[in-house]
Amino acid sequence: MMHDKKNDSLQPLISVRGLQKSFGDLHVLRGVDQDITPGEKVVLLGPSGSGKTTFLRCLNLLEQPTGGSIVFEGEEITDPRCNINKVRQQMGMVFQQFNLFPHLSILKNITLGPTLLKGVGKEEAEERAMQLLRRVGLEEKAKAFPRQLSGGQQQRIAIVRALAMEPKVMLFDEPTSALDPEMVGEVLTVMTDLAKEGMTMVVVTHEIGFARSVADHVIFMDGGYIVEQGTPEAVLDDPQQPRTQDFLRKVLK
Amino acid sequence: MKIIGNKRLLALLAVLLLMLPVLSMAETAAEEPAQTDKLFAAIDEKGYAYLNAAENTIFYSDPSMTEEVQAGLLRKKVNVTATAYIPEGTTQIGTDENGQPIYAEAAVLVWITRSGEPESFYVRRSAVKNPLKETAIVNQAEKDGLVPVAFGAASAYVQEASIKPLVDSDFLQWWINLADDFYKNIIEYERWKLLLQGLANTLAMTAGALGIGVVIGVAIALVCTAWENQGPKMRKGPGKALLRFVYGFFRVYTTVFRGTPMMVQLLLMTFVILKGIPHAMTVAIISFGLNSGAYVAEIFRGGINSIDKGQMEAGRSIGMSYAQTMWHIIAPQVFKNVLPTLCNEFITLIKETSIAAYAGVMELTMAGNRIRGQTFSDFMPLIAVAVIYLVLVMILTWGVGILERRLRQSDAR
Repeated sequence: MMHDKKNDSLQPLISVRGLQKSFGDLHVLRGVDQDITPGEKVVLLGPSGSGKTTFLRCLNLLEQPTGGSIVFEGEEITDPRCNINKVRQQMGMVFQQFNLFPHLSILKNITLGPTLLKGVGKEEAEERAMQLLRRVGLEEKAKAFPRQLSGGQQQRIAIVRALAMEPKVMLFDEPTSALDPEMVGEVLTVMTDLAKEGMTMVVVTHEIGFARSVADHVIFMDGGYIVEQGTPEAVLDDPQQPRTQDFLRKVLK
Repeated sequence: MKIIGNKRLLALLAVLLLMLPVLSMAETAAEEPAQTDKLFAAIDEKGYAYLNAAENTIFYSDPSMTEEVQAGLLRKKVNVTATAYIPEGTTQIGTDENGQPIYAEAAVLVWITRSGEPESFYVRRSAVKNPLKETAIVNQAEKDGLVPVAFGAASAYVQEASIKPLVDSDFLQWWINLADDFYKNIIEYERWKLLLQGLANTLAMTAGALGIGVVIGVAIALVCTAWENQGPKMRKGPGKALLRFVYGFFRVYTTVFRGTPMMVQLLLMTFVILKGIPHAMTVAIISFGLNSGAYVAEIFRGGINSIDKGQMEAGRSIGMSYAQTMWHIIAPQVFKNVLPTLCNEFITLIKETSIAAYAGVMELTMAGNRIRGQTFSDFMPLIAVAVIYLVLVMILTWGVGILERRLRQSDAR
């Protein structure tokens, strides 16, 4: 298990410059700059409507930015000539609503990407899927269908599905927000394990505890700007901006 | 659920009741001898006489002849009197072996005596080959105060006719009449084969049209949803321009085909646009297919839009292209959702193909109508056609029900 420490000499994995996104007249992102280095765990906090989810979704172009640039491993993915499908194979994403494919078995959910996009053989893909399933303790669910699983189980499968593509970064969009409280823990455990293994992670969440224990870097967003950022200790325990203080007071209450 | 069950039972009962006469006549039907060389094929319970022969056959009948004819299923002794009406100016084309003159055009007017009361009846035959002459004969005869309806070269004399009912009970007679009606319209001269052929054509047209409709509908739905979902995100270029053009074209297409009556479309196709295709059924299949395509497009469009957006996003986030996600993730779910609605379109289409008769296709409704023209009864041929449609639709509805339950089960797994 390699332990991650932020290495400043390293090239950033993702480099965001002047990122803007508007939906009609609504400016959701008003110019965001951010570098994410390999192995870094970034947690995005902020009230709803602050732009944190939009920022995350811009990183793999699920939202098309209206301004600014995003560079992933030296390739500008906001460039029209960039093959975004190839880039997305290296960026796993986990959604709030899990979004498993209901017509496919769990195993098929996981192996579809690798077999279809990376040319991995069926047996090899299944073997790898079973390994991942064992890691999240759900190997006996391989033949099941998504609807038969609890929310927490589904979200763990969704993480496995993303991991099966062997991505370089994992994007989490409020992965525990749609879960019953008793299932939040099992998902956070998987995410924490993943962090320990050195995965680069960008997480939008309201789980302050998770941010505190896992994040290298915490970003507080509001009104389409990054209001405050820094180490978890700095942002969570000693926030400088009144909006951050206000938000944390409400969340931690 | 219970109401539906009762309805089904009632319908089944109705069908069985209608079938009852068939079952009862099965034995008698076999022993009836052929009546081909007689003047009248049959005289029904209302007294309508049916000429037996093909068009333009010349009848030779003795003026005093008494002919025993078959009325429906039941043998009835009937004395028929017929007077040949010879229009002025017609040419004699010969004489028969009894020395009776045979004219080129003549009409036969028939009186049949039934229960003592003389009645006059129209005796219709298929038109002579020259409709102008036929009209001239009718006009002349009407001027002379006669109502002739049998045409052709004829020299027929029938002096007297009477029908004696076999039973006295009105109730029984009603059923016998119904059985007769059924025999005459369905069994006799293998008229059921006409219905069967019509049914086959109806089904073939429906299946063909649905096939075309689904292909067109899926294409339209894919293009429309692609434009509506992806269009705003697309970068300017020939791809976007092409998609916008095709989208615009399909919008016009659905507007036109859903905005004009199917009947008008069919007639336009048959007599104007696809005039060059001589096969009426092919034209009808294309017409129905194009029309159905517009409706199926809406079904599939609704189906695609009903799939949670997260499915597309999840597929794309793995790195699948729009098309790959459509094919592997969206399409299987859409198909499952849309299948029952699609079956309903199928049911609608079955009934709609009845208007193909106007384009000259021998489909089920036209088959019934043709029987009407041959037997001059309205009730039995139309009811038979209606029952066939009904049974067909009931079978399909039942099938759709099973399908829906299956799909719901697999959803719950």
